[in-house]
Amino acid sequence: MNVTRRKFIQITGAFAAGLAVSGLGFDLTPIKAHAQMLKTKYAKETTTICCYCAVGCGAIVHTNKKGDGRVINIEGDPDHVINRGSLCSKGAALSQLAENENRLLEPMYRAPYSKKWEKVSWDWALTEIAKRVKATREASFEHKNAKGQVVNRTKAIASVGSAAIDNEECWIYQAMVRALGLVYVEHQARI
Amino acid sequence: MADNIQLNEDQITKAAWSLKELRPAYGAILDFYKQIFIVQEDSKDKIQIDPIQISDEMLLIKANEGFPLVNISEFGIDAKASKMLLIKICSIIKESSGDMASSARAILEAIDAEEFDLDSLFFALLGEDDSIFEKTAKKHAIKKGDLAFIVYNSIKPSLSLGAEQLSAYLDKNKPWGKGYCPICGSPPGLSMFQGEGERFLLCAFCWHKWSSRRLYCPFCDNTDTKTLNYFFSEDEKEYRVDLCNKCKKYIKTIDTRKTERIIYPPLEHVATLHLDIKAKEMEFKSGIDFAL
Repeated sequence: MNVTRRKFIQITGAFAAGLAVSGLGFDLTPIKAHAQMLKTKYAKETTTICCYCAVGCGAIVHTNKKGDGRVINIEGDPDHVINRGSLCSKGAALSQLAENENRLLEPMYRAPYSKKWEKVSWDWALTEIAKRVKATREASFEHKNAKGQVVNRTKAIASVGSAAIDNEECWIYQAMVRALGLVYVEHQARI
Repeated sequence: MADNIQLNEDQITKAAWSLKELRPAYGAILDFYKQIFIVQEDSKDKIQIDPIQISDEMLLIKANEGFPLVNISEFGIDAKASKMLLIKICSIIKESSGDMASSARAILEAIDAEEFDLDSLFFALLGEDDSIFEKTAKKHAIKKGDLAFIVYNSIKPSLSLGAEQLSAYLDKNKPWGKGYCPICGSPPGLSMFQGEGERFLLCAFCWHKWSSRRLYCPFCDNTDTKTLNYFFSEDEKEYRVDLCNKCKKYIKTIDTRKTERIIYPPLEHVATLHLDIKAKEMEFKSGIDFAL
């Protein structure tokens, strides 16, 4: 049988790849057994942009293809022009945004002088926060400073942003706290 | 770029030993191929091939059209060094227990009797006409596949060195971006992640390693991540098998970031046949046809 050059090369290429085993008398049974025993997982990759800061590093999200579809890993995208695969320490921990057994799923409250945290409802927590922000702001609000300049601020409340708040959420959040008159506004991306 | 392919005897021995520790099922296969790869690497010091000259004008045309630098038939072969290597390879194979041992013995006898036109076989492997393989195999009652395997492995160091020389013509600032070898146009046999996760593909024929896009199928250029996925095992984290649901082909990938072992790609290829078996069970084909 005449084979074309391409086919011929493919045949030899396959041998070259070290795949000539049966002709050499090797018993493939243990390898087949190894293949049977091997527990495999299926995953897919999707590109995304890191949510943390304005640099906009590219990342690849590996998700479980069969089963729960959860995140397996997130790594820097080596083809992305901004970061060429590298990520900062926060970006490298991106997967913990979604997959973290220590992540709190319900609001927790520690009362003044108490030693323990307790679970509370969202309704109670949000109402309580609003009540306290309002009371503190009203008690501390400065319309003008000592020089008589209009400042409309409160120095009694500070905001320290969470690492898990993304760039766009941060913008909305800082707009809200500045509207309240906060001047001490910080975000963990810079800390 | 063949930077991590060339290893010395100690390093190959160490690499094979680490793999055997991890997967004892491959003991005999690794012992055999270790010897083949060592004699191949050793022979590289003795090889002399004339560099292939490519004019600037031709380089520009090839780069613009996405053509590889050479046709396979243009590779230079050091026939003397390849003959010496072929004798060593046959001597190793004749000690094995399979059918190929008798082919190796027949080849060695024919060489002794000066009945073997090795030079023609070496160059025929690069050409379009394989009739000399047919005739030689028939004359000496050996399998054509065995002959091709032995001849290919004897000229492989010449091909690798030729590819290394030719790689100087490649524009390092312009990624190749194709799923075939920029040197000889053959498909990739293996994929690797290195550094910050950059993907490299290794030519199944000349073993040239080239930088590649990360998320795509090198066989059909598919970039739709919905139809690209991979399988892996928690027990062998340095490997994954990339699958394309569009062309139904797969390629094995070694993630060098996930292991401290010395990586010698030809050995890794041999020691991951179980992944080929798995992929074939899932009805995916290798980019390079072969039967297990």
